[in-house]
Amino acid sequence: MTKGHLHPLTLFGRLTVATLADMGFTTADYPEIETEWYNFDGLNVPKDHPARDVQDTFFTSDGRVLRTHCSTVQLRYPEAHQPPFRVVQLGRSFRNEATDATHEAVFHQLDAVAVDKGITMGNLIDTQERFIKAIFGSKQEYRFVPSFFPFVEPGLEVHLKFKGNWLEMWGAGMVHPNVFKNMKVDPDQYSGFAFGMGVERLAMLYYGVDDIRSFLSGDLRLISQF
Amino acid sequence: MKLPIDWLKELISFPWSDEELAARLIGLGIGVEDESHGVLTLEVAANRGDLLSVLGIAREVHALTGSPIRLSDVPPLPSGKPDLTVTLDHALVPRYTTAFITDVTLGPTNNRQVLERLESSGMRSVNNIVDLSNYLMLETGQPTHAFDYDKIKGKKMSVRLSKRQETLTTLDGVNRNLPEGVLVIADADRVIDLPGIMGGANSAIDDKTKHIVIQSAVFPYEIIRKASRQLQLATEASYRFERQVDEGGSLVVLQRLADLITKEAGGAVQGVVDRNETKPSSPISFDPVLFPRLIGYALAESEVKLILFRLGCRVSGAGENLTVTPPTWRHDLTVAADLVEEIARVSGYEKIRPTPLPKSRPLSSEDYLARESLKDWFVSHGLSEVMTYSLVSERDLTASGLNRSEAVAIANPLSTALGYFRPSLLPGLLAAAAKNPTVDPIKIFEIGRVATPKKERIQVGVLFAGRKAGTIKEVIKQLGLKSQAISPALKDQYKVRKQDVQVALADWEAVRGKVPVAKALARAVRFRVKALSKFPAVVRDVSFVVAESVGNVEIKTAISAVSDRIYLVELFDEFTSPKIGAGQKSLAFHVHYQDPDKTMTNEETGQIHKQIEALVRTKYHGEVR
Repeated sequence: MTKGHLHPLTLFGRLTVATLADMGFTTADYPEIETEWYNFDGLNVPKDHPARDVQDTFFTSDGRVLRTHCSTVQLRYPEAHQPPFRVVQLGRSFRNEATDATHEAVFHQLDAVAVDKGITMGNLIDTQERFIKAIFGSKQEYRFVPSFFPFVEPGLEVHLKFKGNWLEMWGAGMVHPNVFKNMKVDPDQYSGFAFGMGVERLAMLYYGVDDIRSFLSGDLRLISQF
Repeated sequence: MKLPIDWLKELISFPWSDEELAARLIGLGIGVEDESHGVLTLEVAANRGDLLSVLGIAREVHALTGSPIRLSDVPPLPSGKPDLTVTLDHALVPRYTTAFITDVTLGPTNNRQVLERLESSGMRSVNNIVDLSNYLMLETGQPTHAFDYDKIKGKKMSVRLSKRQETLTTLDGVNRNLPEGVLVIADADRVIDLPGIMGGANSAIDDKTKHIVIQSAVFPYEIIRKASRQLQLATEASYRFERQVDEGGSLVVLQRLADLITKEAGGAVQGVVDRNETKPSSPISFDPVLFPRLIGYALAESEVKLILFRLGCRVSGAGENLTVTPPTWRHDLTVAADLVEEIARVSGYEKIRPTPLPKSRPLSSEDYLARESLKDWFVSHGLSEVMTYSLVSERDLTASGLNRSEAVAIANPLSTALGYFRPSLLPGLLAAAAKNPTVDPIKIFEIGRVATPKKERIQVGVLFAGRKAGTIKEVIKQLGLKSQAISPALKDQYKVRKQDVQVALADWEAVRGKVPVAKALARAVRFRVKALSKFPAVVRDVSFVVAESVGNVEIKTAISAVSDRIYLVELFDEFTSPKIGAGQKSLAFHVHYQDPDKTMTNEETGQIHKQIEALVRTKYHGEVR
């Protein structure tokens, strides 16, 4: 019998998850419809942050949100697990934005967090380097620059160079003390890092897909190539 | 933000080329989007409003080098009482400074440097006073505003929130109905200004203006941000106020503006008012051991103190008990971890040594592995995986046999077609079937999250359509599922033009454990996909008999290379039999054609098809069937 085809995001997602599993990360899976606490407040995103505008986030009529990222794992996972832990959530995320070839309102996000005694930014950077090399090869050029995300401090942004241009790819940093408080983990004992990225954008660069909308289109002309 | 490099050099010296400067700024976390003709285009993080000026960037350079920052000295302004009563609530205006200048001469700006710098920063010239106000905003980050004194009715200004049904024609000529609760300045009769956003036409300076009131103030970012959104009016000023200005700098900027105005437009400063109720920055207790704990390497205490000092912080204490008071312009520094980032940033992130995490076996991700194994199992049974949209329309709900109350409604949907979170995979699967008119049979599955208001869960959906759709039963039997035929009406609604369409849906919970967990999952292999045409694909089959020694992959690759309009070649049948002869095999391929610019005709695909047949005959000595 002729075999069918896995979706490219399944194949690419497995590559990312397996790469992180090699570094001790387990996977977890939580709801796509979330409370504002798990998506924003608990992650130190202030009430007046622009990301919380109706122009940016989908709200449900019962007062919840469609999660805007998979960092909900930072609060959900510690509810049932004591540190140390390393965990990644790869799943659908939602942003209220008009779609075009590079923007999609429904997309996938990969967010990971590691908490232990003695974790440093050196560990974060090593993890990022291994991840980049596993996906894009040992010759991939990259750099880490300081950046701001409410749920980490210090924060950084990962830039990758493609065809001579530096692209801002994803964010990372050390877990913010306020987030530790919300995890009910003592930041004087533990430290940790988190990072998160849009999966489609990486998969587009990986496979040369030119339109982000083709992933959820159901078009078998794309899927049959895999 | 545009940054003319010569302007920066005027404020601080540094030994770098333009490229080096750009690299240093990137290293500090300031995005450099472009560098040309001595102007950098910068992208500043949302929490770093202090960087939205030449002075802000100069402070960052100072943090790296310690070189002094040169700002022009300004003579103190005469204190006196202008004939103007200002009433305000400090909750709305923590700091409010004004100066009254008489007998100015309005006209075009003659100062070439001011004109050039405004232009390279992307601002147009208006008149000498407005230009100087903009110039200082670009230099210091503090927006200022000038009123025509003679247009202020009753010589009264009150800073307050708008009441119902107030209006203002702003400087851009738009007459605006103000929502209740936006910050305004009113005179004795009417609203004359949207402070922090845009001035009013009724108090604007013009050719006839003689006396002016200039204002430099701090307006709360939340109030400005909300008003800017409500009014759909974003300006250079609102952009800066939303990101918080330096409350320590209001008066200095007012003094500089008054000084520049008297130099460029004449006039005499009569009096200054400074109403200051800003709170001092809160000190942060800082144990420097947090730095190596979070970053992974140690710095000498002297180094830590020097960096903080150069960032404008006041540092007192010693050892593990430092008290660090951030400068008035750094609203983003509130906890010890913020200081750790500052020290690491100025030292350079490249100094951080990559350190592997201690080895650790991950906890088994059983549910994940089970779901991924089911995907592989489906694929081995000839099904392809689709991922379909999570947002559906009301019509889609009816298709799933649900009414509105059984689905989670989106309060702010992108469109009514996307008004609900999907309660079922069914609409997506039907849409996917319709999306592929040239594929027959269609055999697809999806595993994804669906929700009703009470419960979100993972669902498994399978759809077969077209030839032998009934074979779905054999596949899903092992999962303990039954399929159902889609009604003609529903097929019609989704424009699925296939005779037989069969669907099976089940909760993941009911299916889990029905297929064994795979030992190893198929994983991504990198290749370049072929771009998809907007026009539908055409599929033709080719089958032939060749020697068994000919490799399937080799021949598939050769067929793919016949034309760039072939985007996919799939082997769908292979057999040997005594009938076709020993040492021979029969192969059959689907060949998918597409053209980026049009739907391909039969003649066009026929021509390429003939080339494929010729290739098989001549190169592989095959017999086309």
